[in-house]
Amino acid sequence: MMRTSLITSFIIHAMILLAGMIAIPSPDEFKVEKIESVPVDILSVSEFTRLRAQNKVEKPKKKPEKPKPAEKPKPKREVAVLPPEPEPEPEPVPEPEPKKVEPKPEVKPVPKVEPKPDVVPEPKKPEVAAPRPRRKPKPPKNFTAKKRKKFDPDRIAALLNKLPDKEKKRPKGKDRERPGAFDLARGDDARITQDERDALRAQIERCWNPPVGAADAENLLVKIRIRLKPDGSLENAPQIVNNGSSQYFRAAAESAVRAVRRCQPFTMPQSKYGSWREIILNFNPREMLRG
Amino acid sequence: MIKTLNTGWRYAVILFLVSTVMVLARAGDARAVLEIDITRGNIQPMPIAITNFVAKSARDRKLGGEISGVIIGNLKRSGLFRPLDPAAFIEKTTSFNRQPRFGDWRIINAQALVTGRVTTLKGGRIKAEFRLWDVLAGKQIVGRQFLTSQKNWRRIGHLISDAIYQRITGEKGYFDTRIVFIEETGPKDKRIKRLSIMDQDGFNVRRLTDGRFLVLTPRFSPNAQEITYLSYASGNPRVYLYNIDNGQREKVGDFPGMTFAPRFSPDGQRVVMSLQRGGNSNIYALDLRSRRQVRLTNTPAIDTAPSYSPDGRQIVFESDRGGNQQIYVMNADGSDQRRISFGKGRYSTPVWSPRGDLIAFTKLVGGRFVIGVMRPDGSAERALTEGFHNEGPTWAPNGRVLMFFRETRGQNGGPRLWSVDLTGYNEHAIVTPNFASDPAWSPLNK
Repeated sequence: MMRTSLITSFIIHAMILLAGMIAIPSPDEFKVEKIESVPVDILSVSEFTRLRAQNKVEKPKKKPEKPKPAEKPKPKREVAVLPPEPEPEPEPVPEPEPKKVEPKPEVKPVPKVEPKPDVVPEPKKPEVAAPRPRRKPKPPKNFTAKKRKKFDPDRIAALLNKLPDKEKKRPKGKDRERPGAFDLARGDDARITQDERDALRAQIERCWNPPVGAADAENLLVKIRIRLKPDGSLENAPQIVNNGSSQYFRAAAESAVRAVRRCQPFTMPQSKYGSWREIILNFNPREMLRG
Repeated sequence: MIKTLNTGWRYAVILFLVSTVMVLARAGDARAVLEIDITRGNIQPMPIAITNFVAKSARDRKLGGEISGVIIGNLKRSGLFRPLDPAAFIEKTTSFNRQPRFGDWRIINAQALVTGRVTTLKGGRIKAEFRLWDVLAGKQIVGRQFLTSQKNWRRIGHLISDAIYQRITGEKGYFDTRIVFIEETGPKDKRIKRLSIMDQDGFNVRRLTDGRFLVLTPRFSPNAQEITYLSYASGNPRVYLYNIDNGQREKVGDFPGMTFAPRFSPDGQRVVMSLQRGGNSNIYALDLRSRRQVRLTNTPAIDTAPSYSPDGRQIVFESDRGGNQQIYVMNADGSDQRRISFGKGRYSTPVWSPRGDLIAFTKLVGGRFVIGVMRPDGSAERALTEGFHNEGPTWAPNGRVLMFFRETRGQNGGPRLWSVDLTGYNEHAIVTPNFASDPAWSPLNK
């Protein structure tokens, strides 16, 4: 008797688990909100003043490089004259002539290209720069070495003790490790700070050329998932996560993928690689549209 | 102990373990992935490399270069593309079927690449093929071929431009279209006005009337082979239909009074116009087959300049029944007439966008003319351009670009055609041999 009821119990438990997995849809991934806890340093007034003084001296290059000289969109009123095309002569036709119907040009699809053997098989990948966050000025060597190492909780005590000295040696880039950004419970790489998120956002926004003329452009949300290698370049092709069937969606999705391809490799803090190895990007041009 | 497990027991255990493992595995997916919102971008014309179409014979190569030239001109004028200077190309495209060396194109910052081939066939026909490549992704995204007669080669350039435009922007193209307009020659006080037609890039200009009689407000029919316009040929202004294929003209009815501002319905079956009888002007719809007329407005005011919505169910028009010229919308049967514009100034020439989402108009305010757009409910009014005298907007068939005419001051001044994107950018002049006014954009050529 006991055995039967035990078997039944096992089976029903298993069924409920399976049913739960199948019937209950998986929840949306947690949307990480813009406002989240910002890692905070506790400093005394004198340390703060010293920091400020040093900030002025060692002001790092915060903005990423300016994009290559590309044409800016023309201001509203500027007039662009057409390229000098030869003016067609007006035909001196007194009476309108009967015009022959032009046959409709036939449209056929062309077979896709197969790369022939004599083609250069692989396009050379652009040289990936050595992974060094661009926005820092050259940090002192000993500190660079320290940054590269995996985050070690035991060193926290050492860091905290040396806080006043550390501030002198450390460069003032925004994405340096701050003593406050700890997640000791996890014991692995720290979370991405708000500044680092903004930095990545700025890098991508620079390269994104959204299609703004679409009829419903403000509702065109494109979700892209990317996987990055430690040097910040794409590991594989970006994945479009959400669905959209309209031609506008496809154009918007392709513009987003192009933006990501153009601007890789991305500058992100090496030591937090685990946190930015996989990223979901939500492209939505609503802030750009007028009227 | 294990041996004593009977079959039912064994299965139960296995099932339980499997389901537990699966649940735990799924739970692993719930880790938080970094998520970032990108809400701003950097609008710039897309750098695109358009190579000369390759060909076997020297004559075909020349034609290939000309077709490329048409494409380059179209894409550049749209303001959304920036064709790169061929002098900067690293890879010389010699074969149409070969995979390009994408690295060479990435270095010069091309994001897209167009290659093509032209072949002259027997009987005066040509075959043109093209491929559009996504340079960053490293693959082809469009490939098509076209066959047509030799003298139609410009249309191939326009069709290819449309295909490229549509694939990249998601919007339909507008390059394989024509513009009908009024050509004006002669001194300012004695202008000769002729009905004329040309390709949207300014080529193949042709005169359709001889200038003996005043002609005004030409409009295309939806099937693009007929034009309706106003002519004083019979003394009084009358609406005419003109067939572009065979050159035949016919009067649209012989109404007492004067008829103005004709426009086709989207299905091509009706013409809507304003009829002036006894001092006031009202809007009438005329069925082209039965020639039956239906009166749509009945006010002592001046109601004119009607324009159908793309689904044919509504009409936008101008009326001064409220005291000054404003824009009104009504159903196609004349019911539910309501005002949608409430701004200062005098609104006129409303035109419904082929996309249905906007109405363009001319507004005179403070002595200046403004070409603007608003939504069909009157909201989100926005000015696109302003000047001494701008008037008469007409939409490209993709609802993205507008053309209008602008008059310059002075004794030697005259009207010229201009074009502007609906985002307000890319305002530029259209080249015509003489002064030109009253443009109307055709639908895409069939």
